[in-house]
Amino acid sequence: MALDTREKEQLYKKAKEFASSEKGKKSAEKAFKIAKEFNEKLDKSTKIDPKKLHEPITL
Amino acid sequence: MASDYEVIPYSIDKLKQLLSELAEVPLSVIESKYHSTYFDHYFNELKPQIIVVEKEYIDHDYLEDYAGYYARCFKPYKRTCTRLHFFTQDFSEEDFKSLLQGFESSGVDDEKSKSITIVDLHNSYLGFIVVKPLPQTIFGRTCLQTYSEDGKDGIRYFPSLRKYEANLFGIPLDVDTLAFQEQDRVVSACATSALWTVFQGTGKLFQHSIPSPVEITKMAVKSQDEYSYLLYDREFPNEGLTIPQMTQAIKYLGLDPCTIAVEHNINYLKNALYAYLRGKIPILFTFSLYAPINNRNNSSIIRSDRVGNHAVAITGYQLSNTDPTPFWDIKLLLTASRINKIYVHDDQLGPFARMNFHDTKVTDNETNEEYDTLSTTWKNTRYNSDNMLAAPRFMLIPVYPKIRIPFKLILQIIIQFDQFFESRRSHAIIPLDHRIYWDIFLTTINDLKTDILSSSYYHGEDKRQFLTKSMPRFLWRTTAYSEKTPIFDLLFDATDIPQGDFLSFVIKYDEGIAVSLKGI
Repeated sequence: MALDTREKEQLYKKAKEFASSEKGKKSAEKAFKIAKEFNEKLDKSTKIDPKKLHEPITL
Repeated sequence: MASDYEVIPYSIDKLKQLLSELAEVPLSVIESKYHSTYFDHYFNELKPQIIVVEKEYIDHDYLEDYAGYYARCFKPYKRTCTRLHFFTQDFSEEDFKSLLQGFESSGVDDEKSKSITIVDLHNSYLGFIVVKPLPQTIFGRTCLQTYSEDGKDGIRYFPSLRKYEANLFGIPLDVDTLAFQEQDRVVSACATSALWTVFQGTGKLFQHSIPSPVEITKMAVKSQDEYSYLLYDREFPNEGLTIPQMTQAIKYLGLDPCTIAVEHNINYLKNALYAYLRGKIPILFTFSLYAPINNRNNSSIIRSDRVGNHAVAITGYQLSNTDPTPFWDIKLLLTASRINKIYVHDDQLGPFARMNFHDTKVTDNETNEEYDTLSTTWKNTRYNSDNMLAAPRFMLIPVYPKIRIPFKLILQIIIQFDQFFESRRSHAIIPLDHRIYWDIFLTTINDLKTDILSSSYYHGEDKRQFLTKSMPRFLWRTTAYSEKTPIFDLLFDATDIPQGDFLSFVIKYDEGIAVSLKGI
């Protein structure tokens, strides 16, 4: 998307205002919380079960 | 004196007959092998016209196995193999003879001078199969062309191929592929064969020597794992390997094994295999094979008997023509979600054998545990019903030691970034109508710069500066797309430490998004 200087300034200002607003902070917090919880689940689901490591692969 | 070669018109029956003669076993033995059915289907796609039989061929890998085991048997096994070359060009034994007699380039317009040329043979070459002089386990080093790029329901990718050269009586031939071979159940079982294929790829990529099957098995059983030696009667004949033994073989070559459990996360399997395979690294994949007991109700969960564990090398994948589907409950959109099948070198079936992702699960008949599965082309001989199903277990990826940052860490960063980005986009702070999707894979600085140089989405002084910038050899490339247009690339240094700031560079393709992100 090609933008002129005024459009760039508007986008920048809008983003900055949202980031410092209560709404912006809350939505960021919520996003990071969801990501953190999911990443913990991901860690668990990909954890290696040491017992299964020693199962022979023979076929 | 018998000729050193034969030229035979291809048909699957002729091929089976030839294999039966070379292995000195009845035709029924060859026909009972899964490979026969597999090669029938495979050659239906490749469409060979002619087989050239190269007799008394000395194969390096077989020779190592021979020296390591067969030479000391009482029974005298042959030390030479036979190599079968496949061509799409039709020609006769006389044509081939004329070529070898030097009539191809004579320029004389007579009968002998116009039949086939070296260029014809080179251009129509499909590859070769080395036939080992062993009873039953006959398929040695096999280098055959892949399926074409266009699949029925998507596009096929084989990123880890390399060039194999074959010199047939002075005729230079080559094929882009990854070598396959069947386990001989003596110096190698499935795990060794799969490792051998993986090392064929990493050997070229990371510049290490490529061991033969007997050498791989020896390296693996030198494991310090205290239980390993209790699992089998003998090291040779080898019945199989464990994951720690396989990791030992990888370490022995100076590579680091990256072990990933994928038993309970089939979506993660898709993502991780895509990320490393696109980085040209073939992947060792282990799974449990299940024989469905019956599926009269066409259920998506089938009670099945566990037959055993198997190992294959993943060499390719197919991306469906559909849009990415949301992964997990966080609705992350990833290119890897479009993978609908993978291609594996399965030593019991053949090269580039298909395994399809589907929604069918199995319930283990003994433990009652439920697993996601992939379909296979293994016949369910136990119940003579649907083909066997594969429940994923582990992926083992041999990486260059300098590649220290694992895929999971990158995915977790992208998950965080994506959630944050989406929270801004959904509040119209980022000017995008659609949720972004991510393409995450390992790359090298050379491949990245070549790709960026030809990119029509990136230009100007920024591009010049990027191309001339010094960067690490290995990078994780994560490209964010809106529909089919790239918006930005986050490039992570794969050689850094996990606690470091390893975001190396951001390539901005879209000015509007870049400005919005800066404001955040």
